[in-house]
Amino acid sequence: MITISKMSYTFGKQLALKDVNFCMKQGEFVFLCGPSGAGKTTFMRILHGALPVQRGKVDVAGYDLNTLPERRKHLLRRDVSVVFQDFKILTNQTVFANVALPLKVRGIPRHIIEKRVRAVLRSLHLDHKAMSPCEELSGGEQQRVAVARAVVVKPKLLLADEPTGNLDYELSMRMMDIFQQFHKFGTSIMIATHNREIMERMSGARVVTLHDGVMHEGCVETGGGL
Amino acid sequence: MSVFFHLLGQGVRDLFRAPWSLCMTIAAITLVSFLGGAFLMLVHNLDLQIGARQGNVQFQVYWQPQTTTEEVREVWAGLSSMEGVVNVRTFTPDQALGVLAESFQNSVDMEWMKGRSPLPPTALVECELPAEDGKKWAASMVERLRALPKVEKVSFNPLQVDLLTSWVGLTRMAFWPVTGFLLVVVALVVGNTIKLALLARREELEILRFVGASRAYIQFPLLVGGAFQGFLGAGLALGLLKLLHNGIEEMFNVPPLWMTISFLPPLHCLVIVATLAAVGVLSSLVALRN
Ligand SMILES: Nc1ncnc2c1ncn2[C@@H]1O[C@H](COP(=O)(O)OP(=O)(O)OP(=O)(O)O)[C@@H](O)[C@H]1O
Ligand SMILES: [Mg+2]
Repeated sequence: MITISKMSYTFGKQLALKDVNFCMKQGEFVFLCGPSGAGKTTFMRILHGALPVQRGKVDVAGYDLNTLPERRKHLLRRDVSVVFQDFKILTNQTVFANVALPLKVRGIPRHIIEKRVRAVLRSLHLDHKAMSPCEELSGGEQQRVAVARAVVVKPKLLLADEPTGNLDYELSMRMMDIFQQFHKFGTSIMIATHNREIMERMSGARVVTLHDGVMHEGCVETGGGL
Repeated sequence: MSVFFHLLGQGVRDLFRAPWSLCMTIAAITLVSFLGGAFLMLVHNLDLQIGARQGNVQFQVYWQPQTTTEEVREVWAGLSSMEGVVNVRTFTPDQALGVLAESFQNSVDMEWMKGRSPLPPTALVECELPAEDGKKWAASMVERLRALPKVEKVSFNPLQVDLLTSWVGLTRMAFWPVTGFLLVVVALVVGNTIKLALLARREELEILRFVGASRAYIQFPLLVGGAFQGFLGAGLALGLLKLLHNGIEEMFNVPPLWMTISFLPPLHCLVIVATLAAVGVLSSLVALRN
């Protein structure tokens, strides 16, 4: 699903990722951990084409990101869904409109959109808020909208950047259940997190750690972080 | 297909999210295309006039004031059968008075002079000049008209045609520079509006991209928006132009011009609307590229 070799990324002079080698098979479930500023978000942004590949080779869901032109990136993004750390939802629109958006841009018929959005909202306990504008939601609710929008299209690969950052224990666990469900149906999932509890819940999952832009296999005690 | 219409509607709806900016743009486009349309109308009418008068010359014939209506009517009946004559307009003293009053916009009351008009009977004789020796022929025509019974004076103005021709030359020369300039102004105005809209919606467009919207899906509504602005502006301008035309249609229909201003033909109107819509699309495209 993901093949990366010797990838580096710099913001100006600052090195954010350094010679990262990484492989992820189809159907794998991976936790990406590491302290704040380690490069987790940067790593994910490269994977869905929001940042260019500066050095190294990157292949995601069958797309060679070294050569994928801007006008074909939407194809990559139809296979790779992202839950952003800052949600990136349309706050002036309703929950329903936000979750329906990825289906709408794929030209899916209205009645199917209606059914799928309702189902996803129900599983995330947002159905009673479907018609509320997102600006009236709490942080945790907005986060669930972001997750709903990412999973509603049944992506091949789901990248989630701190998807439980604003949720209490109960909701975090429910969120993990949803991820697990999608995982069972074949979605490959990568979750960036500081949250040990959810990592323990998925004790069988693979864990990789980023530290100062360098990637290690396994959960490395870093001392820092949140 | 339904996606197509959805995006079409989206493009127009998005514009109304910033109604003030839309209003200003439409006003600017309307103003510019109004100016352009007025200019086109001028060119069109000059063309019509030159077409109607090309190679024609008008003779103004004055009879002696004491000539009776019966006497002069007999002569008038024979005028149109004279060689080279294409059009004759005649005026009895009372009719001449009416025209005179009209040229004062009826602000001077001349009703009391009815039947005692001091003006002589006159005729406006329009002739087709032969291809060669026009001057000579015109001179001989003057002689023939003067020889008619009770004619006091014949005048003709060969300059009229020359003057018109030079006007047409001038407008032809100015046509493309003026049109080009106006189109550039429209392009800049529309481009700027689209750019502002892009800026205001940067975040939203970014989200659209992240959830897998194709480039066409994002850009098509913006192009529709550009076309719509050009379309609406041009339509409004043509409406205003029609109003102006209604006001001035008969303004020059007085001696010695006798010209009715005609409105732009439908094809010209269509071309104006289509051109502005196309300019709207083009400038949106440019705004998107940057
Ligand atoms: N747009 C940017 N311009 C300059 N530097 C940046 C930019 N984005 C990130 N960085 C830097 O790159 C490094 C990695 O940032 P990144 O956001 O990937 O960290 P992170 O692991 O996601 O942290 P957190 O857990 O706090 O979200 C940081 O040192 C950060 O300062
Ligand atoms: Mg981050």
